[in-house]
Amino acid sequence: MSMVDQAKSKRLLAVHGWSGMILGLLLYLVVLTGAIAVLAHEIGSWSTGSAGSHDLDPNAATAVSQLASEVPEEWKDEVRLYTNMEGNTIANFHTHQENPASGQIEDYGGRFVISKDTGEVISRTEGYNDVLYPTERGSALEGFITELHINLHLPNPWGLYATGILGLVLMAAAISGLILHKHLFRDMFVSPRFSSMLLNKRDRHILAGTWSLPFAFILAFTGAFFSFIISIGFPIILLTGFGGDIERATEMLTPKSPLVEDASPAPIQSLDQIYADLEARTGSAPTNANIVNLGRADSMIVLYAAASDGAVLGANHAYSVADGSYLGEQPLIGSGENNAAGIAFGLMGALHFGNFAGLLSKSVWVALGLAMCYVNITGMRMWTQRRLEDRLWQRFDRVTTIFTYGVPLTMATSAMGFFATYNFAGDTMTGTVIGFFTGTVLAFALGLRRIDELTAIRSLTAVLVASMLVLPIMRIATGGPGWINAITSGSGMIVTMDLLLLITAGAFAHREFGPIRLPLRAAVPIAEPAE
Amino acid sequence: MIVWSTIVATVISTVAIWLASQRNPKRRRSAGLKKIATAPLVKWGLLLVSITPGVALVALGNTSGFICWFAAITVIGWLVAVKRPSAA
Repeated sequence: MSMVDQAKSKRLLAVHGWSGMILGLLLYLVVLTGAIAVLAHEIGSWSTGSAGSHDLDPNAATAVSQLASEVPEEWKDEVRLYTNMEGNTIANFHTHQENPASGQIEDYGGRFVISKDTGEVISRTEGYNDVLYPTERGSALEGFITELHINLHLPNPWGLYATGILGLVLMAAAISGLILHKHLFRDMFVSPRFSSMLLNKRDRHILAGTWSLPFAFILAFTGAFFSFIISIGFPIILLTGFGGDIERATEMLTPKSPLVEDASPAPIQSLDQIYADLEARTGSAPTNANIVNLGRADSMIVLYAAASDGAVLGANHAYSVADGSYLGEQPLIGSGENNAAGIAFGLMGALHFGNFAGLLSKSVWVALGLAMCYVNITGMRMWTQRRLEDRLWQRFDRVTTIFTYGVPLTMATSAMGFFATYNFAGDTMTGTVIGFFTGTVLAFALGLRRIDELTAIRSLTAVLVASMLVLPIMRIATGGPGWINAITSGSGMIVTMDLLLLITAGAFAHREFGPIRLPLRAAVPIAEPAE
Repeated sequence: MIVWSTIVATVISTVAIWLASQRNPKRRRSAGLKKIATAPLVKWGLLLVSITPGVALVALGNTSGFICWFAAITVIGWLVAVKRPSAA
């Protein structure tokens, strides 16, 4: 039985359909890029030809200690350590001061790149946030895709508002779909009927929507939460709770050191031994670290170790830098005993990013994202094809086709743009953006021709398949490692990603040009070509 | 161990879901196939077998495995259901 009467049901269907139609294409873009962004780290490894390990490099520990004796005293207030996409260690020594250009309190200090091969400093720069935290060449492709998902590359906070609203639309669609569907559990196993094209589309949409309902809701809720907490929540807390004082807010939200304040000079314990101790305790190597008051007796290092042994959340662990002693786990947010906020925040992240169980959870999250894309597109198709007698809806139907195949095509052409610049000292971000726009123009040029729907789909599929087949070849031809090199150097992920592309290309080709045709594909009425 | 227990749990649930789908009366009726007589014990037994692996993962302390299993089942269930049932 439906939860609402017929009139309410009709209104709800209108809300479900129209909200999906108005924002459906953007929603598809955000959900598909989100599904791809689950593999951002793997894409980074694949595109740069690196092993892809983000664990802190113990070989860089000596260089960090050496730098501590060279840099200005105030830069040792805080040191951030992490590994970039090429596997080199980044050490940001900094203090906090007002940037005259922005008028904001920012990090100011030196950014040192420590080579993974030699353990020596290979690059030094000095400045504020824009210098300390630049977009790195090797991260351009993964960064571009991730930002497209997070804020559609719109300026802050508008991009976050947009994706937050899209998250709410997805939640509304999931809830209204749940209310509208009369026989949710009874129809869970009913395969799409072939008696008519529209009925088949409706069945496909409802079936996929029913199964993906729980995680559609979870992903939409957590996505909207992150968009709004960053764009609205944090600024409100900052204004109302701390009178706009960023430094005081940061101090309040940052876990406190259990060490007694002592500014007397002290030696720096071997960081590699601290890394090894943490790995022995948790089963996970540290992926980033933050040191405060380096060179003092009260210096503390906080290292993040990812979840292990079936846990969902990773944890921060503190050590004394002066004597290397373990100080215990640190809450993710704040300094109190009650870490509920930190746990809630961490759980939201784990459930949205799907990165809590390595490749296993990531693979499942990619599948969830693709299933949601399917629900999105079949819903839009159902809506437009019911109204095909109207020229406006015919055009919208064609634009839906262009988006369906065009978005994955632009991802592939973005990667091509990256490869065309990465190993040739070019600007990788510019290359990636040019690749994206080339794919966009190509998709619209192919899709807006005066051809029938099936031909449009086939030409878009052909270009998509070709671009996916070309990518592994282009990667190797532009200086990336071949399969044997990648496997022997411990970069098996590169081969996996290449194979994934080839298999996906094969699946698309088989679906569109293979011998087995779905009975209804040939019967799809041909829409009037868009002008 | 954590990964393998999750995979085994997912495979067991997949088999149970597939068997349940093959016997689902509405699914068979809508595909124009003959109904397969299924005792309530079998019907509820398959439901139990499809859920138990997830419960077992939680009991073993494999929380991340449980979330993976649950998410995977929502995708696998759809892929099983979307395929037209065979006449057998």
